[in-house]
Amino acid sequence: MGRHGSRVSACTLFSTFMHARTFILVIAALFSAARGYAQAFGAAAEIQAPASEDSTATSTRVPVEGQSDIGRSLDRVPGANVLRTGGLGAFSGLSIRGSDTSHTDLYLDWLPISGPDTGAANLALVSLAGIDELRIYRGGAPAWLSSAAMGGVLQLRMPTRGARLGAETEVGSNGFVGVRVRARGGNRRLFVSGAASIERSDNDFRYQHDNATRFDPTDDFEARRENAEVELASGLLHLRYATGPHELAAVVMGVGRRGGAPGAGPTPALDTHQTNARIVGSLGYSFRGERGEFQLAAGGGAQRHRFFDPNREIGLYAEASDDRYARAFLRMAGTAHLLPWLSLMSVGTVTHDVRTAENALLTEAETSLRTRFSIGAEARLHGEIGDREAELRASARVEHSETIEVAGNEPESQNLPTFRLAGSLALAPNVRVVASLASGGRLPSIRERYGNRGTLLPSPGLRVESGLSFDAGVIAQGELGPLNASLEARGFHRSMNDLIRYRLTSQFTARAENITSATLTGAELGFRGKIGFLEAQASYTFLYTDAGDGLALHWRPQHQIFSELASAHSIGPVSIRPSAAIRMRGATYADPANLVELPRLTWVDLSLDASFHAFTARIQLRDVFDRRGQDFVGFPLPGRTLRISIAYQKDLIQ
Amino acid sequence: MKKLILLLSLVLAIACGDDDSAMLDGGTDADTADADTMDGDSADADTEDSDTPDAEDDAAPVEEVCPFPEPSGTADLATGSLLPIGGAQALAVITGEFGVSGDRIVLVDLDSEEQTLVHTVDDAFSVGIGVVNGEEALFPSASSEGPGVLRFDISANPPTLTGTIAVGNATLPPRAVALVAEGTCEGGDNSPLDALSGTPSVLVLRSDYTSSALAVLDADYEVLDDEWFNSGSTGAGLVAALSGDVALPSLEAGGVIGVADRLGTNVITRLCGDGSLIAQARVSSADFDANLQDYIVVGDTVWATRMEQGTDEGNDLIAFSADTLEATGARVDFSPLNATVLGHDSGTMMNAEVQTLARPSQVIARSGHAVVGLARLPESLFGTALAAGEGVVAVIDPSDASITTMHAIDGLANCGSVRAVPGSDSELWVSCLGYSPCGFGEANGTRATAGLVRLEVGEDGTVSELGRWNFAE
Repeated sequence: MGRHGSRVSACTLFSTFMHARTFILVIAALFSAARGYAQAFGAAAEIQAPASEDSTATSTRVPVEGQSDIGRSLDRVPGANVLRTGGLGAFSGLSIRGSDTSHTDLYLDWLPISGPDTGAANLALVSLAGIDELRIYRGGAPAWLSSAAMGGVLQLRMPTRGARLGAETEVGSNGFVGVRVRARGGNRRLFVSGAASIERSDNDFRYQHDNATRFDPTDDFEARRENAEVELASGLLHLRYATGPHELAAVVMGVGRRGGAPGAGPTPALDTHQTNARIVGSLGYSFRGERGEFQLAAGGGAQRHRFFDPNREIGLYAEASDDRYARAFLRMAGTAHLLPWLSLMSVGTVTHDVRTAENALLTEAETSLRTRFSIGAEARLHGEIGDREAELRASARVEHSETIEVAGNEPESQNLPTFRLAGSLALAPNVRVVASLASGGRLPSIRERYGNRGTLLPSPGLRVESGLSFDAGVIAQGELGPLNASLEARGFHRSMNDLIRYRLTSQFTARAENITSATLTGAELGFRGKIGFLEAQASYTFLYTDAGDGLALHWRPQHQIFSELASAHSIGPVSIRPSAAIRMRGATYADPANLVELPRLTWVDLSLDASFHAFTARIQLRDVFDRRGQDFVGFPLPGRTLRISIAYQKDLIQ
Repeated sequence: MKKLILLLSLVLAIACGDDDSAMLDGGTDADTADADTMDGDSADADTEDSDTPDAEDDAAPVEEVCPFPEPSGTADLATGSLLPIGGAQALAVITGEFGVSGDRIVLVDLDSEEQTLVHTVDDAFSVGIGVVNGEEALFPSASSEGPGVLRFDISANPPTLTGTIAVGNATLPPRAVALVAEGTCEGGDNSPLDALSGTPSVLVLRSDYTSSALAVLDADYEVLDDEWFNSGSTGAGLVAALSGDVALPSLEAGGVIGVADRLGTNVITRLCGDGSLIAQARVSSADFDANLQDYIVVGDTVWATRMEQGTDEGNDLIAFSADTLEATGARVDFSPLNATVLGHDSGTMMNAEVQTLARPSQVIARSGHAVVGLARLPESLFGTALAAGEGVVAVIDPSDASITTMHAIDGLANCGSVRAVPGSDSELWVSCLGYSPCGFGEANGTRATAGLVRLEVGEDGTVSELGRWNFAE
């Protein structure tokens, strides 16, 4: 890189600073004007729901305290499809309503973790340690988050109250061992929560090896997955200090993963390893008053992905790559409640990403830079129409990206404008209809745009992926006799254009191109209910995709079902809770040409919890009928597994 | 809190810790591979080592490999597939540039060193591997103007486009065409495919490089089945029935339909038109990705080329029983042609000694011998240290798996593509795509080592050069 890289970096930082200063001035002026307007008209709005809560958004809350497997938590969400490549620690991604996994943005509260150059958010690197709740936004996300995601947003939310201690140890099949601890507590001013977990697994589950000869079953045999062992460690520390309307919040989260990379297909990779680490943190100040809210926050983090393939078992060249990402992030947001029925919100962000790719066996480091500025605004109208509560939100956002791929390329700019229009109307006290129209987009990654000087060819002129979605639905919640239940039914339609796909140009080379467009239409049903000692939860997703020429998008099952039935009983001082869950993934194509069909699969899980005072023992039998299966051809999934855990949880304040 | 701090420290240690020395130490083994060379009849690979700079010889300054001087030649490089049509003439594909120009098919005359434009298609990288069928040349085209097989009358001079066979579509366009030799095919009891409704005569391989389908045509170019054998012909396991990296073999037995499934799969499948399977087998050991390239059938033996080198296998021409595809034990190991070649490292911008492998690619049958084109490219194909060995064609006596001749194609590089001349039992063309040590596709270095060569193999396995066009000149 040398002097040239340093000069570019310095110029970019200066440019970033100048843009950031302008941006801050604009935001400050906006906020000031909004407050002034509100005061001038003497608005005396009550303190309202935080701007981050958007009743018009299509979102699902999944409580995850004490859980460790994010994929299993997401399986129950309508419209969510978790695509896995193996057992614990293997890459898995979240496809929302049929979007690509790279169309899902990952947030820790308001802090974006994913980005255009990090690829699809890898759920294997998302720890639930210290996380209280997952919030999954399908379609357009609340403007407060400042996301342009085409698919949706997966938000990790931390606890904000309560005092509790918890610890858990777990063992299971395939050499799984896990230990997790967590604690939270505080007083009216100070709240602290923290958690840590360590897990490991040999991941040497059995799978059917066909020796690559699909017409000849005589050479098939059962093998054990090799070189898939993994060690995971994670931790999170979260502090909040509040005094009056002012609040300071700080959070730091780290995740590390180390293990083998078993590769795909019939040839196992035995000497390939990878190490991943990520640490993110943020410090934010917020003010919440009668007439509005204000937030100023800064954050950032670093990621490091090392991949070691000395014998070309997975790649075409000997590789000891060391990719590092660093991010600095600044966010300013403000909401002004101008009238009892009108609020204005504005949010702006500056994100500066530095990616350094190094292959120790081949070349010196290459550094690329990307700076993104975004500004968005939303108007929220809310009140009553007749005696029915109604809300309307209209927002627009624009993101400007400047990319510098240091080695000899000129800076490249791209813009990504998006909008969202959403509304909700209460038909009855417990019944609400919602609808939204939103656009989204994804900036091409640096690797897609500039290639890697080897197997991936440059692709000048690569356009931004874009999408437009519409959804509408009904949400009901309440009691019906002894039944306490919530129900949601939604339909959606979305179009996605200029989707980027790699097209092979020879046996060894490929090039990213905007070659695919698609429309997706679907329906979602969700149910949660309790009657007496019985609890039930179910979700169903229907998805029809059209990629042109009568073809469906691959890896999108047309039907997905999740259902769980549990019952709670007491035997003396012991509480027991048996449960059974069924997950069905419909048939799906594994290739764009729709030749390779992965059959429908149904997995059954059984679980039994027994609690005595603060202790809970749990036995889980997953995939009872050992159906195994695979989401991607060549990546077998674990079959029947047993997990046994003992947990201690104590509420310190009743 | 202490535990928390300890655990966070662990995370930070992973994030910021020193390189795993145990891991990295393992990577040097490959770099220390012996650079043995072979004393072939014609090729003397040792001469390449003579260019290696000697650190102790201060009196002999080492010339910088890069930048490459600009060659004087101006002819378009035949960077796509090559199809000899007889004598000193061949049809060659000039690959276009993405978004700028489409592929061109040109008539190449070695005697006059001229190229005559025959046909242009709309898109780059769209014309695949063709075949001569009597008085016609058939070229698969994936062009957006209409995927199909282009028919050229090669009795005309220059050849003229006479029509297009409608086969394939934009999703799975044609990539390669091959003929089914006349003969009787006897398969086993296992019939994984439906019987064809006629006699197979022409095979059209369709692919989007993710999945593939084999279309079968009769002698009148009527499509018997446009995806007879495809990636979904049976349920997927660790692989699909066909991957996206498939080649049609250079020579199959009469009546037999064969497919070579290459990198990542390494499977040969031999079928009869009635849908029965002769044999299907993986041609590499369980933990080795051999990158099967091509095969020919000679008598009752399948001879296959494997491009990658493993431990005691690969980088070779290996024999299998044609009936069962079980290895016969016969093997020609090309690893003696691995060499350390003076090249250039684009990371350090300095000369570098680069380990190359023989990398056998295509194989054809000529004068009772197997003729193998050796690409001789770096062990690490996409590293920054680039160099290529001098082009070599190996002539093998299949009766005893011995190397009869190693014919050096001096001055040219990346000569893995060999094509038989139709109507001749002894002639072949070699397409040397060229290779620059100064960067992938760097123009001057590529042109300096690119060319077309016409050879003849005698009954005794000797090779004589009938013509050549060095594109540098």
